[in-house]
Amino acid sequence: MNTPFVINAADRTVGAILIDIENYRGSLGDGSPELAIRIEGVAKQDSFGAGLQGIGSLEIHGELGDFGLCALHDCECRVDGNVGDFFCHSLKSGLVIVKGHAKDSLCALGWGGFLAIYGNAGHCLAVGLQGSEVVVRGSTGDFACLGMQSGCVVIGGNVGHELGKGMRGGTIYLRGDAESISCDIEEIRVREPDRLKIGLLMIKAGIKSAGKEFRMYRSVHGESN
Amino acid sequence: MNFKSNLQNEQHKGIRSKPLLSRVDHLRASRSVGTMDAAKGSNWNARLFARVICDSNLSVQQKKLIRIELDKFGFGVLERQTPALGRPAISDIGHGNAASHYSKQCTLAIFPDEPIDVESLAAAKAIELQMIGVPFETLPTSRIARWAPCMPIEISTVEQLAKKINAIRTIVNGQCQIGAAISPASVYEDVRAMADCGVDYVCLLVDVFPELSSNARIKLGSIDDHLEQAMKGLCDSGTSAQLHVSSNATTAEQMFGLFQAGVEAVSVDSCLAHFRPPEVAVPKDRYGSVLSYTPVPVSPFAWVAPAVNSLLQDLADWNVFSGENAAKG
Repeated sequence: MNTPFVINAADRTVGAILIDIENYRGSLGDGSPELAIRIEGVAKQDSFGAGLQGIGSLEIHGELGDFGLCALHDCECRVDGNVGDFFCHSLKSGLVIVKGHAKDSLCALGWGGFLAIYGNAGHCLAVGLQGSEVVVRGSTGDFACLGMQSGCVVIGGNVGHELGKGMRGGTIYLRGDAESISCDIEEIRVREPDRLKIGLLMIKAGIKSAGKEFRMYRSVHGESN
Repeated sequence: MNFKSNLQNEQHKGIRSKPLLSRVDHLRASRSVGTMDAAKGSNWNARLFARVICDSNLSVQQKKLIRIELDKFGFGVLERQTPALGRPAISDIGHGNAASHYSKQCTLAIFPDEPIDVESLAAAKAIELQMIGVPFETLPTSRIARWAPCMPIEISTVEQLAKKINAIRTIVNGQCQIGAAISPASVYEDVRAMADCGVDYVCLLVDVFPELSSNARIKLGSIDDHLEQAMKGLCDSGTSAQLHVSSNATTAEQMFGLFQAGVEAVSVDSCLAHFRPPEVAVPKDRYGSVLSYTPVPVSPFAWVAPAVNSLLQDLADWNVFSGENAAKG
């Protein structure tokens, strides 16, 4: 991996930053090693990094606004700061790690890839999730995993009301307590492969955990993965 | 006298200020009226669109064939984006790369439960958010429930929808038009909300043809009732959003009436459903039929091109004659 290309995002629009990235990509030419980019001074711009794809390593220092890294594809991204609503909406592939807190609707409609949040998440975590793997180290708000179809959500802390409402597939691993659990999900006994899976997800997220003390929930309707 | 001369001057100024391109277009239409060139030369194609591929219950192969026929015209053909839930995309059939199939004529539909797919959006001419349907189709639903008004499942406020539209605009670098398709419920409020969210156009679905047949038309509302409300909503929003309509207009006269009422684009689905020939029964005596003639392989949708050409010609003719009538009046 090359030395990261550094962009100072202070007082700059999202479009200008993306043009910088494209110019840098062009300057490397074909057959270049994977891109390594560090963006500093991001100040809550909305739609930051929407549609980014094909970047080997992306580091973002600062707070992201709403719809940050929307529809991310084929990127390895680390965010050092808090993120806004709808972070990683429609996540397709890649790996995203956030060293901060997230607001509402984290990873909504994500259909691939991996997302880890070291802090807490807001309401409507993983709404309509369709295949992504989401790890939240802290607690989440109400309506977590609303309308989830498939994928996997690991919550290290507590959750609010109506966990798993309208859930039709996928798996929830919960370590803390839930204020109320929807009638659409039921608790399943955790077996050794599940513990192994939790452990692997935690290793991927860079969190030290053996996967014990977790409870597993799946949808009462239909097939779960 | 002064008044008359001033009026003449203004008229001359008006004529002189007319853009050159509009003169060429007018001349071309009036010179070759009655021929196919007239229809192709006019910009009617840009004001027509087809939802049939996205909406209809036709088989995948039938959709592919009708798409080939419709591609001959410059319509905005609505197609589903690459699906996330393993639903087969029309484009996947016979193609290794789904995104490569999308042409720039394609308008991509994003349904309320679908994520945004960057690869599909990159090749689209326009993007249309479908504010209709039953998310995830979890429950057994009626035919009409598929057209029920519905917000994207992750969106709960107009501000959030505006931000989502802004995010999509960022993804496509502002190169695509973004629209919203709504079914008639509270038309004024819905149209105004969509326009306030920053869409480029609002598509009002009054009549839909899921089986591409006039007999199986689903009437979601009355165009007379809803058109006025929709136009009022657009005017009150103060934005430059346009209104597109999917209605039961089958003739050039009816379509022209919609254009005159302020509609920017009209669906040709009704026309296709109207002109679709009835299914031909296969003869039971196959041996005898083989002996009598050797059938030439013809696309079952070969009737689409003549039907659309006829419509375009009628529109061009109607435009000219109504213009003359207006001048006489």
